[in-house]
Amino acid sequence: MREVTYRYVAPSTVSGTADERAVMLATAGGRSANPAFFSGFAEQPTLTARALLTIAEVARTRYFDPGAASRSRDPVVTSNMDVLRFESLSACNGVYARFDLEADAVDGTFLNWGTTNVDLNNPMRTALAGITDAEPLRLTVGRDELTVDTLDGTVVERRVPLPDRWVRGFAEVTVAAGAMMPIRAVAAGPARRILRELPRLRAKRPGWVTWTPQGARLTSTPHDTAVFLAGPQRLGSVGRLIPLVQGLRLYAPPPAHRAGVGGRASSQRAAQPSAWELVFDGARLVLVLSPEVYRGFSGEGGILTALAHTDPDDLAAAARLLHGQSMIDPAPLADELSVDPSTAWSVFHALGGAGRVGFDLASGGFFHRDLPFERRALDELQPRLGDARELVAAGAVTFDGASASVRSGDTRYLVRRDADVSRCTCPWFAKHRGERGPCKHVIAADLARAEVHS
Amino acid sequence: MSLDRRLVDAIVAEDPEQVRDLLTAATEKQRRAADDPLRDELQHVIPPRDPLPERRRTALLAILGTSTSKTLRAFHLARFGIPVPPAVAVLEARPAAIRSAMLKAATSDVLLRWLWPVAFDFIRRDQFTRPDTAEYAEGALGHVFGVDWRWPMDRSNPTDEQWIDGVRERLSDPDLADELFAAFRHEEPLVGLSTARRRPVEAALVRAAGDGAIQRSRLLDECLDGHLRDFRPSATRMFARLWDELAPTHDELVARQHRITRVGSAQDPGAQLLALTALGALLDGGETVDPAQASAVAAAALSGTTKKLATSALRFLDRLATIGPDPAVTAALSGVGHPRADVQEASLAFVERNLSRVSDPLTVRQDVLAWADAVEPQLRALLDDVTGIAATGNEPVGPDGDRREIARRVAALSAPQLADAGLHDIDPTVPTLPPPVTFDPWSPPVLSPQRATTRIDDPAELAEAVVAWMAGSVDGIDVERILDGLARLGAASAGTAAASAVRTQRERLRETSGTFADATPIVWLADAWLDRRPPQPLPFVRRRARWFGGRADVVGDLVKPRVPSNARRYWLGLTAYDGTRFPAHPAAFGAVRMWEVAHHLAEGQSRQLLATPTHRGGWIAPADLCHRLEEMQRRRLTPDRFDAVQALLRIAPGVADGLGDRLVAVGTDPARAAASILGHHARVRDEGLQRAARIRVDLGLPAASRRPGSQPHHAPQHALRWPDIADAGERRRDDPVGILLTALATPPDEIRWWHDANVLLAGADHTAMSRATTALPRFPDLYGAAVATTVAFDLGANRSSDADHVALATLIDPDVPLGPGAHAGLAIALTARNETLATVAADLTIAAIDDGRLDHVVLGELLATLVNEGVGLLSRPASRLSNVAEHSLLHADAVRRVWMTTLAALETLPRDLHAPLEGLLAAGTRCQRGVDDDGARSFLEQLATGNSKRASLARTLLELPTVWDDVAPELLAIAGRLTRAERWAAQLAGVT
Repeated sequence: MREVTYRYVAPSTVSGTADERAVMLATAGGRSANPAFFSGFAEQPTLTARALLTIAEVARTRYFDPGAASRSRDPVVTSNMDVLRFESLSACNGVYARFDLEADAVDGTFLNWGTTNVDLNNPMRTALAGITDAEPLRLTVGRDELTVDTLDGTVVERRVPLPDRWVRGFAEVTVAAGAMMPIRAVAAGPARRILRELPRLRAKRPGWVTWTPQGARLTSTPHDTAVFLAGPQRLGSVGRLIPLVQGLRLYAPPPAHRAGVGGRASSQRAAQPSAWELVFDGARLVLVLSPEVYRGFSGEGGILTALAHTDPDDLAAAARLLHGQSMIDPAPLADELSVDPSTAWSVFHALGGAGRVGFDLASGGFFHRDLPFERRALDELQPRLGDARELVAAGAVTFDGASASVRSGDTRYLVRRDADVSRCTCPWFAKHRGERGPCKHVIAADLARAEVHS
Repeated sequence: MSLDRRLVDAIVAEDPEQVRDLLTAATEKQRRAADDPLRDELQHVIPPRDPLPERRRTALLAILGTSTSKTLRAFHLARFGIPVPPAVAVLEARPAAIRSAMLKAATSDVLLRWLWPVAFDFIRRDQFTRPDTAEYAEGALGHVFGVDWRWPMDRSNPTDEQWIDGVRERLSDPDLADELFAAFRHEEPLVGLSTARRRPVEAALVRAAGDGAIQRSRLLDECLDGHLRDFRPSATRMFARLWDELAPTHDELVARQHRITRVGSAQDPGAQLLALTALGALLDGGETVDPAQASAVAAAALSGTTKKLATSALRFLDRLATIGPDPAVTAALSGVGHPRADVQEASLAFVERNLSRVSDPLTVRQDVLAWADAVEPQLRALLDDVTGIAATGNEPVGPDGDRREIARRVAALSAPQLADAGLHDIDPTVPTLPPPVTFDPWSPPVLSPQRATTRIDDPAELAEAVVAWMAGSVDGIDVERILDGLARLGAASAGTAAASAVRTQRERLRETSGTFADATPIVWLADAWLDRRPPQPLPFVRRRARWFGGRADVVGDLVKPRVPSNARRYWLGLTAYDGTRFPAHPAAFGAVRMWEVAHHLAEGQSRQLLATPTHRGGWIAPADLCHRLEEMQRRRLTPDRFDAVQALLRIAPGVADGLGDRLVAVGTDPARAAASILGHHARVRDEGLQRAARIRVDLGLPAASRRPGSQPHHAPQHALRWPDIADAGERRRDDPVGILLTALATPPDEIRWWHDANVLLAGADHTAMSRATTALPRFPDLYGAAVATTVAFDLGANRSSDADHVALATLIDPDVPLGPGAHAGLAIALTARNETLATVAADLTIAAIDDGRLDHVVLGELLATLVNEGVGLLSRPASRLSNVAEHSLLHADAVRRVWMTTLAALETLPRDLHAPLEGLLAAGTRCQRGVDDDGARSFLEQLATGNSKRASLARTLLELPTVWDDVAPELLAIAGRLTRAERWAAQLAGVT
């Protein structure tokens, strides 16, 4: 397991007088060692402070197996020059949170674009908890070089384990969100009620959130306008924001994808991720929940198909187009990449899998966000894809008409196409029925077939 | 004498000073050499069960001097601590590297927490750097509050008073007091402290503050700061309790007013209550409070879910409104969206009362409107008063509710079709609520093409399905399809590439399942398929032996009147299964059928199974069964006995001409049994087949002549009368709840079913239960009864099994009739504590109301019976049924009727009576129907006197008007039944 070293020139602080509070967020990593992104005032101090606390809470929480020891990784902040995005992923990999503070909600200057880690330490959290709208809030993300020079050189350095699966989970959220569509928009009143009541449900099994005139309830039966929800208590992180919520938007995979691509038994439901977007004036907070409490995003495998079929040259060309944009629609870029629009989307999904872009559900497009971690080769980040490539290289794939036989160890697995879905006789497929991405045998068969065709 | 021997002597003499002297005088080499022998000796001188606290403390000291930080943690004598000064001396004698490692471990390793005081000694002398970690803080708290505070049952523990004195004494050390306050800055240790109610932690701190051991002001500040650290409530709970025990004076509150206001905006309900109480006290004391900031505290409290907190907030706002009405009213708006109707009502009333005081009433009205969607229906009038805008009426019923549309749909159906849907005498021009729909399980088009199952014809698909079965991701019908596929294709496909994956998965299953009984039959099949190995006699289903106990249960009872005398021995694994005895459990019944298939696979024989369902739900089309029997006879194959029994239990109605004669002509016993089930006279020799055939007739399968939907047929509902219940109770006085539910679920002359239903679910997992529901498609009501009997034994337990969910979810299918057993299961599930089961119950209620299957009288009486018997709460079903009532006007009306029946049948006044009263009020308001049941009105009239909340609710209910010109619920009810009739008609058109 690798480690990440957060090297802040000084800790984040909240300071100021009764007339003005100043939040100084320390940064580390990214395009420079300690980049500076923003300096100005937050129009809604309470909202900003509570949202940052929510981001910090998600980062330090293990929603699955909470007793297990874990070290939280610092949130990351992205400046797209017209929006600040604070993101975190829970220690269990199952909950992703992002707070978007748009230009309308701040009064100040965006200094630079990029992505960096941000320090939300314990004293900082204490200070943030006491911020109210009574006094203006000065917000600084990263110190400018002049300020850094005047500091006494007290560097805050923390080393935290950085498992591949956590990095992969962070990237996989982009793919999960990219496959979602809006399901429901809820007004302020019912939204606050829903966010109060759902986390209190002690349902041990997942269910579907369905809508009632006063709010929502959990049901055991899926239907098109319902949203799958496992572990409602995971929504509890947004509790402190409920009084400020102006609306709630729900996103989930389209109904066509809900039965599970592999034809799960009729009495068993296909688990899915869901996104809960809390709407405020000039700001949004999105929680993306993994399909099950015990499932982190890292194992979802949604990116594998895109990665397997994306030309590395296309990927590199697309990466060259990134320069801090807050909204990227891949379709118009297809010409520049010399690919068709659907391939362009696939290329950007692959970039998402590499942690180079995020997906904004509200705008329906990608945004540039290079995760500030050392990136390994894609194959290393995605062991299933790497294994599949090894199988192809070892000549383990043979074809018999439409079916492929993939030898893995002493076992031969049969991969066949059934109604545009590849099926395999391996235990992974048997267990997940394609809900967690293709197995390595299916990927290997696809790669080998592509080689044959080319 | 060696060092270890001398140490042992000193330990036995319980002399720590001597141990210290021995260790400090020795070289490190001698100390390390003594480590292993010393540990061995200690096993003899300190018996495991003998406390010997002083001896253990002395031994710990010796171990500290001889071991390393790694070996130290393996020694479990730490319960009584270690003498600190000698331990410090011993550690100082150790080499610096070992000492440092031990101190580091002492401040970070939970197993070495007992060494914390020694590390603290080094830290306070600046000989070791103080770590600012949660682990160190936890050690500090453990030391301050006594290392034994987690073990209250220990007889050597002091009394509370002695314990408090000990804490106070330790806190008189200022360095240790500083450590205490530093520990308060860590979340995890506080969680342990806040949840440790075994010791009066707060009382000890208050006593220490009172004696001046620690500063009271510092403690008060910490109580507030603790709430401002964004810790979770479980960590800060202690601070709220401590604040209460400290009982701050007026001056102390004044000095902290600003911080108290900040505390109030925290997310923690405890902090909010603290702030509200303190700010209220300041107001009472004549202090000036900033209305805007104080209102923010109240708004935060109203944004929670707790009624007590919300009520406190509204009381506080009442006082605040006199000095700052604008922020107070704005804060009260948060309460309009509260989950509880009474808080919503109080908040709206507050806004209405203070509307004249605010500077901009129009804006307030608009703000209230933003909450309108979240307001309970019974408060709409109040909402109208506040906003000045009349609420809209009922939501449009939609095209289904249109009378002309309904008349057209009625005209398009035949009389039998209407009768099957419970619409015999419907007059669309004068819509009235039709009675509950009752129908036999075969009345739906169970053999329609839409319900046909597919069979597996491809070896790759078969292999994939077998692997999926082994991975546990198949349901009951899948299992039957796989068995069928193996029986037909297994012999020829064992050597294919596809089977290779099964082989690997089989080995994994063997490794992971061990002796797990449920995996055994699958391994039988895999062995027989892949290696031609016959199934071995195995001692399986051991865990089921616990409940089996030699008694009869469902399928065993069905196929044979008596259980074999050696059945218990068989299930205990003492007698090998020999393929002839009858299984005694649906899951075991299924396993025995797998055993039969495995035998054929081992012999390389392929065959079509008789019992494979042709249609969902487990039904077999008679014509298909006839064809299978004929084919078997043509190939001169002998039908398997249990395959045949299962096939007979699954025969669906619907007979083609001449089918009986063809079956008789086949001549085998199973064929004759099938013929007899379908109405032909045929002599059956096998006892089990005879019994299966009789079961079909006993349970009411009509003779062959009837085609589904061809004539109106209404199964009689078993009357649920108290005498039957009482009679059942007489038979088993020791188990009143079980008997009660049995009686509710069971026709009086078949009382044995209660036990059968109970064991049906015992130990079954998702797949087994899902398969079991297809074993006897004739009697779906059994599964509801099964849920009732399994869950009812402990309604307060927050647990439920896969089997309960699957059984209850089976009843959601609109084509499964709901009999008494199903209603009992529903009532119990609605009353159960388990939220997941209750969710399925609410779904079932909604579905059953949709198409008219729910008998609100039966459900209402059941809920009342549970309360009358003292086993059920009304608040739980009230909460679930309020969700149901929100679904539509029809559902609101149905819930209203359920509650009216329940109230009329109540023999006691339960404490949570307000819950159904509120539910009835919300449902009645929503569907614009008052209380029109005489029994319920009589009950409410008795209740309506006095000033209690329930009396007030009763009076409101009695005055609730009915809008008779709005027949929306009735129209929706008819539309729901028509939808069923139309669906059946369409599906029957495809039945041949």
